[in-house]
Amino acid sequence: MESIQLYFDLIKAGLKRFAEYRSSFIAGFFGLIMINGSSILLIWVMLKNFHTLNEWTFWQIVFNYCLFLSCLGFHNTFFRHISDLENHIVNGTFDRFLLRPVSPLLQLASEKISITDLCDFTTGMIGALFAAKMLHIQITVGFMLGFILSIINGVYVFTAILFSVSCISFWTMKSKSILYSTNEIQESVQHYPISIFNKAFKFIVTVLLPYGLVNYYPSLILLNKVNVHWVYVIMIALVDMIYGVIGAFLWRRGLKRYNGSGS
Amino acid sequence: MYRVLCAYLKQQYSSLTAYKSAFCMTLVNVFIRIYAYAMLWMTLYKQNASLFGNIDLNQMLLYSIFSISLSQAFTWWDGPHIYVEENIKNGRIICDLLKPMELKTQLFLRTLSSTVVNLCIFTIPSFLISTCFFKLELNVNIIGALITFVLGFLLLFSMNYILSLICFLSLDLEGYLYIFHALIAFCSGQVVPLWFYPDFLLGIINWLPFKYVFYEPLLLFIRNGNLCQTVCFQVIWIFILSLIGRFMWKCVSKKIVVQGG
Repeated sequence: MESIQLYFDLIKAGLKRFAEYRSSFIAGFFGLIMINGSSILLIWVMLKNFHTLNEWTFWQIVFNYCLFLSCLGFHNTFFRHISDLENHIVNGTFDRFLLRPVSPLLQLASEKISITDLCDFTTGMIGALFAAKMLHIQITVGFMLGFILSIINGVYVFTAILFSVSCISFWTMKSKSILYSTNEIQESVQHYPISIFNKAFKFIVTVLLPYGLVNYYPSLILLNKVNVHWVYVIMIALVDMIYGVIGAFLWRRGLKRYNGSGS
Repeated sequence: MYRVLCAYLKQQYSSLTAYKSAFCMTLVNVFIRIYAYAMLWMTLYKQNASLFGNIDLNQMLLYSIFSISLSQAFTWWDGPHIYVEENIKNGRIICDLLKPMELKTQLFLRTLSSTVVNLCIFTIPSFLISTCFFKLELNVNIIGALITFVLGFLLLFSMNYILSLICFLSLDLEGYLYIFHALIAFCSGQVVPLWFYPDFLLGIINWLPFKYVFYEPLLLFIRNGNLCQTVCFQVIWIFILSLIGRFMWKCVSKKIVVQGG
């Protein structure tokens, strides 16, 4: 309980940073809405002509896109800065996490907050629910439960991948370049159903870098595009678990290995 | 000026290739993007080829692949505006203003060198490798495309320069950059060619300069489009944006705030 209180205190301190550049901050909110609006409009332009993309209709793709967006927005708001672990290790500033009487993981997680990304989260939530309505899906308690679980799962997948890859810095000092290489994979999974790609790409985004678990598979279940739901639920849970174990293992081993650097 | 350009070219080459892993990952990203869009267009072409009009799959893929490769050199997420933003924040902009060369000229040479290096190490190799991978026939109009791409570069620079002047007033560019990105992504035809757009959207886009950076030059590249008309509109837009830039510089130069130091 004390840790949670401390987490929010640290977040509150981080919020003051946004008073610095007010006009850009406001433009940031509008800009993020415009970026997502333009992405959805581009999909609309395409599907206005073609009607479906590999049997996915416009609103189904919007749901898929917005589910990814809301998970990404929440993740970026609270956890994106975990990738700064690399800088802390290289500059030696990770030492201070170890000296304070609070868990280093908690300190790392609560170091920053990106309020503008909450805009993505909100846009994603509203967009996904609106798309569901347009698809005539009954917004029942069961659907909402599935939807919320999908968002929690998506945020978990993003954070687990980021955390595991960032922990590699304990050995290599550099990990951000690996993260950069996943940018385009993320974009592709966000914008289009992965069924349009070949088997190798599908395997990568299902098992190795499971971004497909953020939106594609939950969308298949929530939009009733598959008959057997439990197979996908088990697959998602299994991959989530494996990534969690990998992250925890790398963090523990990395902490033991860390011996300070910089000055 | 030539010596300055050579110095910038060397500097840009060193900085872009200094971190081998970052260089490789950028290339990997370009290829993933190319692959994703090639798959998308192949799926759509298989679904309904008649909607592509007189454009065949080979031309469509050439358009899409070159557009993605080119966006590595014609950048709006990086460029003079990002350089100015950084230097305004850390106070080094004062050094640029003291140099015996106009700020706009410095920024232009810096951007030109970065574009040339990006073209050589990312755009051309990724485009050629991808055309081989997808076994595409290189039936393109090099001369027409070259002229319009050079003008497209000048047009994009003019837009980026205006953004860098906005930064003198706002001190931070992140939010404005998002808006700029949304406009370029939607209105330039870089992602989806404009022939798919409905008429009411084209009515707006035709009055904006963005399509002359990517869409019109890319059309000429795949042996479509009208060279004279494109060049005329590009020159007009460059002239208008230069005037706006000049006017803004006059206003901004009186209000410069130097931070840090």
